[in-house]
Amino acid sequence: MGAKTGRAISAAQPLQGLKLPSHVWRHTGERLLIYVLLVLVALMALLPLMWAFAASFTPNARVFDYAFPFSLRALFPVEFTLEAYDAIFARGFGDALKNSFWLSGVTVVLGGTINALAGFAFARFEFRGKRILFLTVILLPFLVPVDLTAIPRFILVNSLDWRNTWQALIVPGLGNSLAIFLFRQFFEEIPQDLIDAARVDGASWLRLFFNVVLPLSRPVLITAALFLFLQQWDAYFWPLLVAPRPELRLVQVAISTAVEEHRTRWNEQLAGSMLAAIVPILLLLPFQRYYIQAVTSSGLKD
Amino acid sequence: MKQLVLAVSLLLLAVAPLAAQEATTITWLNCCNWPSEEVIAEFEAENPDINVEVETVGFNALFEQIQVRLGGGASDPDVLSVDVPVTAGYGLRGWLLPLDDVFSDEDRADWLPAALAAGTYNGELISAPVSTSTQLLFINSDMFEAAGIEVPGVDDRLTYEQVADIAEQLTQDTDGDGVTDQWGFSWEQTVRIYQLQPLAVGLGGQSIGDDGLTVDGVINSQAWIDGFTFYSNMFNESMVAPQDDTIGTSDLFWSGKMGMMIAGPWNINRYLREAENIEFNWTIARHPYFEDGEVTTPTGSWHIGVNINSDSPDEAKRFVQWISTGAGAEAWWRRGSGDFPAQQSVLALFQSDEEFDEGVKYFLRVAADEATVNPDPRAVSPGYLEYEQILQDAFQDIRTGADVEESLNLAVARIESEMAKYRG
Repeated sequence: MGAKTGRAISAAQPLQGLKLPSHVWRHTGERLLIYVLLVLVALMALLPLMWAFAASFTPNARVFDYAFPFSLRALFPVEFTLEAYDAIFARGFGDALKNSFWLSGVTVVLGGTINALAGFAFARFEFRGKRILFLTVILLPFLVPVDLTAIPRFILVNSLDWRNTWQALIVPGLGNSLAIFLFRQFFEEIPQDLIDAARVDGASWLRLFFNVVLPLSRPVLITAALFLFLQQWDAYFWPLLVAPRPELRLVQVAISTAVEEHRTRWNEQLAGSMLAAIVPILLLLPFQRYYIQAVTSSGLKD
Repeated sequence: MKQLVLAVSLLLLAVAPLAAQEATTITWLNCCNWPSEEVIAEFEAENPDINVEVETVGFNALFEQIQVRLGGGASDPDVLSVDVPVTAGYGLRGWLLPLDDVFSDEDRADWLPAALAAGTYNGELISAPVSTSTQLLFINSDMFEAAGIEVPGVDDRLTYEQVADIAEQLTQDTDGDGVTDQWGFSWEQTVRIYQLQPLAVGLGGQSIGDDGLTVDGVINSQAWIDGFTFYSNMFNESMVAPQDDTIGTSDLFWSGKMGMMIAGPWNINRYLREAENIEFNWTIARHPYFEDGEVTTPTGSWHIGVNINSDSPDEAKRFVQWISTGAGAEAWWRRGSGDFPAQQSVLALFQSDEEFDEGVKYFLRVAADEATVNPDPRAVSPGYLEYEQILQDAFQDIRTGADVEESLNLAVARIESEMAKYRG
């Protein structure tokens, strides 16, 4: 338990570092200025979303009535209608949502387990070629654009006869170098004494991993789960390539169907985007503190 | 009675092998979420031994899909929609099956000559013409009348100089807040060579050198500099066209915020679908030209080809033959993409069908005729995609104020460098 408290304190340190000296706060004028700036920045981020929300309830031909030049009237629907939402669900958006939930969920469970085990192996085991493996398999993919590997990955999936199957969507998304990297960094900080004590008590490596290490790793688990979930939730190019059949259509691909050759059904595209955005927002809001902890702190200290 | 039973039994025996035969499924990778169900159903009804499965993706995604799938040697899609200027590039890479054995001389004679030529690579037809296109000047008549400007007739052809002059009168800050909220003019595709090529070609320029690779001395010639100086002025000097392209030109026009746009006749179909929400009067005129130049219009659209690695090349060819000629081509125009057909016999229906005698649909008849007025195809080059992308960058720079000559010279250097790999 002591280790848990220690980790929590260290995780809070970067936030404490942001605090300004107390005398600054005494100057109400400065405080006001900061709030005004913060509100402005928040508005810059929120206004496009608010417009998109209003536009999703507007007939397509009226979407830009107040948007260019922009006026505040644009933040309210013109001739309120649900036609965009009706249209996207009639075109199978509900099925696409279900497919994306299923794919993201499976990836979180399987990918989370695999990446955590890999991170643990890199953090705690010594084996031949460990350093070179870490550099080439984990760090190098950070530097290579995903598009560059699309053709070989496609050839592989094609040769396995996996086109238009769930495994074509799931398997390539399981290994995630960023998640392995985060797990490895986090697990390296777990006190060696704790590991040794469990081993002395006769725990197998797997038991130690699941019963000792994982319960201490909530921030990194949640962060990796978010990465994996969002990676699949936002996937567009790969699913279009390997699983173009309508019954496997995912949410981002479904949104793109509102774009025609010479016209975009903006209200439908925005309606789809609003629904697709709600899920990550609902996930990130409650879990963002863990996310910040895992990214800013390197975990437990000895 | 016995005879009848015998006859029926014989008939059933004769039909049984056909019924037992499973239909071959082919996949068609097409673009832009075109509505294709009805047309496919018609084909399948006529060809019960073939099922067509459609995969449809957005315009940009189509090129990536083809690049990865055909580049990776996949056997599907069996059939693919081909944007006509990339035909040569696909031909060079050997991705498309020659189609010369598929079409009769009659079929070939029916296609617009420019379309047939554009689908041919090294003397072989590799992508069959399906659609063609043209451009018109769309006019917000209410805005003209409010400014006291005479509205042109549908068969009138304004000069670019007249367009620029009228656009200045239409560009206004109607609520006096210092921000322009009514624009005079723009092009629908503000930075794409498809729509901008007439600016240079109309003044005597060429799209690319005769070898399909050289651009030095071509896209930085005086015709290009003059044409794109006019283009630059519309955005940067008279400022009648919005520099900001956050909202597309056609969206601005159909929101009633723009007086004129050069745009495709597909906008007429768009209006027909959204008429109840469009509250202003509008009309069309013919594509503009320079006072001292020639009339020339953009052309080219979609072709269709067969994957060289297709497992069902015969079935794929039958589908391609059906949709690019005769009744299939008409079905695709009427109930599919809605793009102008590339078959002269189908195109002629715009002139003969009563449907196009009056109202907004009459504009389609004018457009069909405009498609035959000196159409100028885009560059035929194995490096077309690179050529188009680099020109797009140059037009974007010019539109936002960069020097015209410098931008074109920079594009020359970049394109020449890209084309080096195709020079063998």
